[in-house]
Amino acid sequence: MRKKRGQYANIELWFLLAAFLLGAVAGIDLLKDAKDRLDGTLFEKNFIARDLAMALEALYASPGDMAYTYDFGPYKFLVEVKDNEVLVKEKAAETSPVSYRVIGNSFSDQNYVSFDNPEGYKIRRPNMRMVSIIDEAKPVKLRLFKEFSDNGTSIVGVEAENAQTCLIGVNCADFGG
Amino acid sequence: MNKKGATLSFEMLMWIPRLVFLIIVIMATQGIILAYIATNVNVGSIESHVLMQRLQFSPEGIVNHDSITGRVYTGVVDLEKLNSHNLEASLEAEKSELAARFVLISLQAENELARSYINRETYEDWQPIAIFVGSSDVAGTGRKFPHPETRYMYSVEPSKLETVVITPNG
Repeated sequence: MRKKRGQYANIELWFLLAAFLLGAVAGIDLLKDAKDRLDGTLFEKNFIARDLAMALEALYASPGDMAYTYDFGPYKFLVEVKDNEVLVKEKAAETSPVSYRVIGNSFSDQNYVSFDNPEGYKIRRPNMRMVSIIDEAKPVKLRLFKEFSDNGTSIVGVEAENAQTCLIGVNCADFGG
Repeated sequence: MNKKGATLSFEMLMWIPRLVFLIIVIMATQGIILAYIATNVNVGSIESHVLMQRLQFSPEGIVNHDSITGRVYTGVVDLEKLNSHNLEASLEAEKSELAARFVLISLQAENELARSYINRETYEDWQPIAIFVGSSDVAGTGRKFPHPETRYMYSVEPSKLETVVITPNG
């Protein structure tokens, strides 16, 4: 009889132990997740993606020539400007980069036909990817510019300083993308 | 013996709600902690403002533009440009990205001079959600944010351009 009572107590003890174990695993996982979020760069990448998208949109708004240098400061992120979005990642092989939309940005090299000029209000748009950082000790900078030519066409471009870049659809395949 | 067996299974069964409650407590704690860690910033209002600046200052916008001199007459609306087709062609905004409504109203007569949309269908779908979100503090990933703005312009007469840009969450 006593032996059986001990058996019940044993089973209950195992359940209790399992509950503590579950709590401990979930608790540690929760703390690890919170620490990762605080230590990680997700917020910074989100911020830069949005900030860069806004800077590009502001550039589109410019009625005349304009150039703007965007300094990444201490962050060594790789940026891609394509289609209608800006992508920010830490490593070239990162499969889920942070992205943000850029309104009115097809980023194509085709002539942009507008109501203002049916023959083609030409805006050549950037379509580039940063492949790698050249010198890790130096800051990475982007030069965003809009330049008008005499015939009414304009170019919105993005050039990187201290980073190797490629043009999407042109030579990015040479860099494995 | 049967009674003991019954006690045993009751004790064992009691662990099911205990474990369920334990999981609920853990998830609630995690939810509370994660809710205070911001990894995202909503820039919808700035986006809306930049869009308006673009329409007002850029040659692609809704204002008069002299293609010979390249001069943009900021604040002077070209009524021919202020239509949905032109706005959508000019900005190329995806349907899931943004929707907006533009109403040009005469200041003196207070009549509507022009009304146009960017992604009209999306605007009409999002408007009820945006009105609800704008008037309350609801949370959720499906939120839509309204950004109303009024700008004083000139078209054929002094007028004001009332715009509501709706941006999705994210």
